[in-house]
Amino acid sequence: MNRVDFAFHGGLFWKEWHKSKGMFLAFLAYMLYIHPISLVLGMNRAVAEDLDRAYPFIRVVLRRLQPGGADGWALIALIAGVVISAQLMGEERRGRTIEFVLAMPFSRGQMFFNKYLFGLASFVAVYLINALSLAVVVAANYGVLAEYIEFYTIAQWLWTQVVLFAALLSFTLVFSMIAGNSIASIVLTVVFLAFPVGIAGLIRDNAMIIFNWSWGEVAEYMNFLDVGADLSLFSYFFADGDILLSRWPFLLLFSAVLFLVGQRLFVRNPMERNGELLMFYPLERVLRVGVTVCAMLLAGSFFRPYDGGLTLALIARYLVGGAFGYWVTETAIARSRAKG
Amino acid sequence: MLKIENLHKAFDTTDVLRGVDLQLSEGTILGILGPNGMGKTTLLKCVVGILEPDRGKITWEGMNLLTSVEAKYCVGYVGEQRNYYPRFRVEDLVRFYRMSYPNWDHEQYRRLQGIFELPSEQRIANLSRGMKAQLAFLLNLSIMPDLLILDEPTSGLDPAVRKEVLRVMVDQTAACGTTMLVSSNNAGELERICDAVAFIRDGEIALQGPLEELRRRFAAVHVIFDGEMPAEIADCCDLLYVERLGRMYALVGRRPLLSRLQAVDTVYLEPVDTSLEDIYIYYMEGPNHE
Repeated sequence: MNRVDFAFHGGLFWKEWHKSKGMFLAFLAYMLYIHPISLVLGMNRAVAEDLDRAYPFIRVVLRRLQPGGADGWALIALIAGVVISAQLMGEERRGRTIEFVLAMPFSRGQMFFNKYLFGLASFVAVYLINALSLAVVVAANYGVLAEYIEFYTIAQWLWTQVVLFAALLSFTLVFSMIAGNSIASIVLTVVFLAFPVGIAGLIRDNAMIIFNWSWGEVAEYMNFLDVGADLSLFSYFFADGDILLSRWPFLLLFSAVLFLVGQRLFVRNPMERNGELLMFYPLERVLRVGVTVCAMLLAGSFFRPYDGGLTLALIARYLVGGAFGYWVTETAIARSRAKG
Repeated sequence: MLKIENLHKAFDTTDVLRGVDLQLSEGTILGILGPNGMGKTTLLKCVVGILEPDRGKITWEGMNLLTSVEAKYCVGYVGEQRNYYPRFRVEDLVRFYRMSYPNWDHEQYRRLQGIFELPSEQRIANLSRGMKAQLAFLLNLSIMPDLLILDEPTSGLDPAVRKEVLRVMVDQTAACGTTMLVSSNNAGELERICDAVAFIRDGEIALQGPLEELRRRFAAVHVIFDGEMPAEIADCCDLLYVERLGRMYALVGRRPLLSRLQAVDTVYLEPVDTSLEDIYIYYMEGPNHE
């Protein structure tokens, strides 16, 4: 029963839809607003005023459709994607509704697969509706917009966004299989989305303090840190040029691998830990060490301007930061265990 | 037949179930009694697949309940918490169950809805604890289960609904031959509906058997000795409980206690009925338990 499973189940799929449709409809409305509706508003302005004055507004919308054109609005879409994906499993754990589903005639693999399938289908539907609406708006204003956008740009945008959100869904669901509730799942996902970029910055910053290196030296000696940052999922949302277009097979492979990892983790989840911070005891040790080290590096880097460059002050910052990080982790684990 | 063999489950380093063995014939109702935190709920959750045991085997009619999805088509579960999706309406859950259980019987559902009178359009969040319990029964009896697992099924119910629920459980077994495994802290309630009971203590089955057989194995007596209680009775390993009321002793013990008492001088000796609650309390908490 606890095997990896790829069987579609109408009941499970329907349940996911009925449970999450509010969030997806809100996401759809948001995406429609920042894409086709914004374009229509821009065109209305162009008609009411003139194209030159409306063009900057239209350009902002059109830029969002280009690879690497993500802006703050797209960042909100990214966060919304994480939250929606995380609640697919996290809310079931937090509310313990997962227990009555586990007692029903489904394998765990089947439960995971249908959640993933629903999430993917919903993201595809949201982007497909957006792409079709954009195509209609462009077609209706082709005389003006043909100069700035082609239909294949919309198709390209649809494909890259679907691939990106498939990767995001897999990435988030892996952390949902490690975390015992939706909040922990969202926090872990966001932290690890930014982790390769963030940790590289922290290590560089601390290396500069400890070894008294300049920016140039750090860049020279520690350029290997860029590899992780370049490959991180987060960077793809804001990648320049054609990176996204050229690396989509890698992203698809990334999604598939993480899907399998997530399903395997769910099959092995000790369900008595639903509602807690983490689903696996050994990971608590990893979290303690990880947060302690990151808090040390953060404290070392953040308070540097205030200590006059004293070695003793640096050690003190590390100690205080580490102690704080350890305490935060311990408290979070202990509190979630009481609720679990 | 439900067969549980050598079931082990630990939470981190704490052993909750330590080699549970249990057998349950078709069409019988087996009650599980035990102190809080001794593994009753864990055992039931392992049977229905919510928790995965560390070791052991659970079979229903020869099918492995831990590995076969098909085996669970005819297994219902009424948990203690009854955590359903709060934004769902009753009719949504009914739809989900209909889509998930091939044996769903809508006629049975309508019949039971007539008994419980749950409004279909009501949201789960607006249902009381008692109504949620009724909904759990409604759903799990409508899947026409051959095996029904119930964890504290009547907790939080008012007396009238509790009576109705117990009646429905007995009717279901009588009419459809449904086998039931019921965990409860209410020995009196289990005594009314169960054919057999098992006591669980420290993650192990301490005692199990048909209810009548258990009653025959234990005896409660009121006795007045000619003088003090003889040492061969006081030290007897069959004696589980002693209470002194003036000159009279209320004793509870295993059946051989009666013949031992008949062999000593007594002024007054009267066997009294042993309830399941007596057996449970004196067996589980008495000084001479096995």
